[in-house]
Amino acid sequence: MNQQQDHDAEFTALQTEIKDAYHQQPLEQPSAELDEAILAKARSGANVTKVSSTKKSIWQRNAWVYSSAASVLLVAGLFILNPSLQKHLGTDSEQSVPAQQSSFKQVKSTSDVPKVTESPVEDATAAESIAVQGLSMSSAPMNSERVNRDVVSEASDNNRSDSNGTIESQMADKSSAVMSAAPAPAKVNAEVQKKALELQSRSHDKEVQQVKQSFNGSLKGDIELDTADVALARLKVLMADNKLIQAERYMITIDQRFPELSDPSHPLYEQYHKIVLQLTSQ
Amino acid sequence: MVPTSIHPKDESLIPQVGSDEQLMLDYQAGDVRAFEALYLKHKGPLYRYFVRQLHDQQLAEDLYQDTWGKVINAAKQYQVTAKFTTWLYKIAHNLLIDHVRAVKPLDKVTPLGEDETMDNLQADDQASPEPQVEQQQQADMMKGCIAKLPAVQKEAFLLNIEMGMTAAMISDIANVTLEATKSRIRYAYQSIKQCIANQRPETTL
Repeated sequence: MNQQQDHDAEFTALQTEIKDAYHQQPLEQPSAELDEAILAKARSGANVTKVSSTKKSIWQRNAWVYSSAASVLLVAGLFILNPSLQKHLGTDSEQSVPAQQSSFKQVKSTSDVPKVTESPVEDATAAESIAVQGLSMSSAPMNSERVNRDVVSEASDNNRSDSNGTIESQMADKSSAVMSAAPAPAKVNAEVQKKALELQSRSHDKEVQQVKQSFNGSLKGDIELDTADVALARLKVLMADNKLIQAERYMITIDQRFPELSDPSHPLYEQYHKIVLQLTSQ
Repeated sequence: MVPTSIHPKDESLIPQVGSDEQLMLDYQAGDVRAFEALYLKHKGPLYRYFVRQLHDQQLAEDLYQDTWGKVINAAKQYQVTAKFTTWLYKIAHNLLIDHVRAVKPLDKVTPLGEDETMDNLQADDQASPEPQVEQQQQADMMKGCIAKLPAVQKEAFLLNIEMGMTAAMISDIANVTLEATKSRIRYAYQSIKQCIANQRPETTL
């Protein structure tokens, strides 16, 4: 223990001795240039600290607001620029809106001759929505496609020869057959059946034709919001208003979109052909 | 990345008026004069910390400048969790490790073991004294002997003799055990005494 203390005392004496000698010597110092460079950096660093703490750009302060606004603009822009999105959105919203049933009531009151009003369009859209639902419910689209075609063709054929009651019952049978074949959820199935029952009340060729057209449009994968009779009605209005140039352009469009109107067996062929003759003769 | 704080040894470390820590906080608040005071106080020891451990004067000055640069840059996030000197020399130590020891052995000196002394070392021939400049001779002798210390002993010696740091503080900076640090300090002093005695056997310190 004493030895340890002696040892420590000896070392302390040595330490003091060397420290004195060390601090007697001239000690190196950094050059004035080096001092100035470091102090200048310290001054600029202090300025930077001050500036960065006080000034914050408007973008940094309102980052969330601007990013949210940009996102909304982006989504809105996508909907505006992409018409197919609008179409799908329109179809979906129509399917989900309960007021759709009223469109069926409107159909009942409409006459055979198509008028240039919104009701035929709504009518067609409603029929389409049923067709699209039927297709989407089907697990085997090609099979249901075939069945649907049968339904439509049979309905139209029977319509010419039989009474209204038989058409309706057959349509109902076929529709329910299609619905039962589709392995869709019960809720959706019930809705579609309800709509199908309402569809049974239709007794005119026009309605059957519209369903047929909508089926054809759906099968092509394109949900069209226009039909041949509506297009023809618009063409008639243009002719009546003596807008011949526009009518001619619209006729070309009809030719492309509804080539079946050029078929002599088509019910609207006569009317359409008459207008075409009028336009081409002028 | 400069650590702006280290684990405090002393939990009740509160900056006192005029202390290094308070000066640093004042500088953080934008007071450049506080930094100037801090710099004047520490510039000499820190400069010698590098110059005496490195043969390359330019490199020593670069590292010295880098150390202060890191202090300035880290001032924004500075928190008083340890003594300022401990923080400052920890930065310096890390720079020395990064820039020198990773590339080559420090000082290009063949390292001695920690228990090794400089009994067999002779002073440089150039360091032989001239009668008219005895003080200069002693200074050169001291410098020469310090330069011959192993790197780890030299660092511990310089921190102790320049700043009066305890073994505990040095062990914190150099990240070694307290016992190892104590040994380094003891052997450093003994080696220097012996080195000087070997050069001037007729004189005592």
